[in-house]
Amino acid sequence: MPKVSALDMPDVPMGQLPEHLQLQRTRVVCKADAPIHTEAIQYSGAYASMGVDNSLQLESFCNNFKIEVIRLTEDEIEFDMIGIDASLANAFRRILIAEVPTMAIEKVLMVNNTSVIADEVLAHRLGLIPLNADPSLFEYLSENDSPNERNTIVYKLDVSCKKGGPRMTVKSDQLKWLPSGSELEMTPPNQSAKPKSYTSFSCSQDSMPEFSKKPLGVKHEDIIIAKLGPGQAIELEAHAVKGIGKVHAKWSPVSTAWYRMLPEVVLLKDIKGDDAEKLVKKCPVNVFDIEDLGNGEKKAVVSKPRACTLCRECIRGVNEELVELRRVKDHFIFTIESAGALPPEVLFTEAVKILEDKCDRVISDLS
Amino acid sequence: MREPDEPGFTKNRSDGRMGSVHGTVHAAGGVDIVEGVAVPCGWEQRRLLSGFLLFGKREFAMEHGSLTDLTSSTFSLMDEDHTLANSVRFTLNQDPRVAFCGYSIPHPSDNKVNIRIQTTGDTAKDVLKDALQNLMVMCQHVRTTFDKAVADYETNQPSEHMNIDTP
Repeated sequence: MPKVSALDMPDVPMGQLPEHLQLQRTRVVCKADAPIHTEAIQYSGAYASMGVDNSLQLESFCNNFKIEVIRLTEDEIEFDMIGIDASLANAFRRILIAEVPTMAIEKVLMVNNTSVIADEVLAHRLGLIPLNADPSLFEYLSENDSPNERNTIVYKLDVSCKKGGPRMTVKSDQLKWLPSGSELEMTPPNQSAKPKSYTSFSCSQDSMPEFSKKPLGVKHEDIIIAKLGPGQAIELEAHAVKGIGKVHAKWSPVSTAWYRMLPEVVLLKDIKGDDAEKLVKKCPVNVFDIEDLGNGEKKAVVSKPRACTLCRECIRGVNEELVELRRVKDHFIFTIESAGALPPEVLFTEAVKILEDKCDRVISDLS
Repeated sequence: MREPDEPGFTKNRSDGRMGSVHGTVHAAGGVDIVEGVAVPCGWEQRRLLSGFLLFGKREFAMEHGSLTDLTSSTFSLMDEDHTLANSVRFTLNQDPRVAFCGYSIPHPSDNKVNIRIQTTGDTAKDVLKDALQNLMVMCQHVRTTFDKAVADYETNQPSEHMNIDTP
């Protein structure tokens, strides 16, 4: 008998992956108890023995990568990102939440607060109010900087509830923008010194061309800040600075940003008659539908796989051999909810730019 | 079409060969230029690269063990986290010149990641640089594709005022 190499297997096609490996590589399969094949096959030589190159060809990435916008409103975007690894999609998501800068109230100077809400709680609430200010027009306020018109926005809140009148609600529209900076004066070190304000603006912000058309107000005017009883009052000044969500969540530009992989629902066998009716009824989001085959025969079909929430109700018990739930590993349904400072589509571009800057920084550090 | 010489295309990849059959070619062909001076590869270059430890210590450092064998190094990145490390691990793993790579965050309170790279022959530093370059090219492509998709959506979407279905 002639010697045959163990690696020489004529029934195994070379240069392409067998079906089950291709499934493993591109899909997460969600079994009734747990999902399998969840890991990404990243290593370039993972399929070298089969003559399959798993390395990244930038050209093929550029040719295959696709984005489709599904929904775009003033403060929300949903889009499909196809042909990218989860590590990058996740990097974008993490940057959106923690590293895209915005403006938020950081310092609150309390003049008077006789309301039931404590100073520190009130200051925290003020910090969380989304401001209608483009962060790219501002600089970071570093430790040794003095607050000026390029790095600080000043707001004033002066409200009081009349004695004997009804209770009153303080809303965010009562925060008034002070374009020329702080109106409060620091206690001078000695009596002869001229009193200084808490900010050192060299000019009024509303005289600057970028702010004269768009006043730096709050994004939503109906956020409740506090409630005042008769005779109570709040007087304070709030200083907003630029920051990132990593430091405090108030600087996060998104309400949230998330993605999910595209669901794929596969019927492994034909499901007919009563079983089909049962399957359709089982799904709470109506992924399945009935197809009439004529002469009274009915067959289950998958009509809306995108709606699948992975509740796994359909594969519980009897159906596990009939229905398979999968997720496409490189197809992400990405949703960004903006908190208001920047439109959602701008946020995403900013996030990608930040990742580029990170790479650039490390490259220049390396050389 | 991009030219192979453009940043983002590593020399090994643009020739179209397969990952598994790669030979290892020194990126600079035996002569490396460090700060404008051509130096022969080998001991000289190693000495110069070890100096890298010093000038990089502000934000960035190459850990010990990398001085004797340039094909395997651990890079310590300050002020970075999973965001960059995981993405760059992906692009590194996709590079056929990489035999092994991984990253770790030694302590959750430190803003630091260690990236370990072992190559099949090339300098680990060059491979890391190429991986970062690739990541940048991918990001740029994502950005242009996204901008195009948003513009497409806006042109194809009839504005609310033009909605003929509402009376």
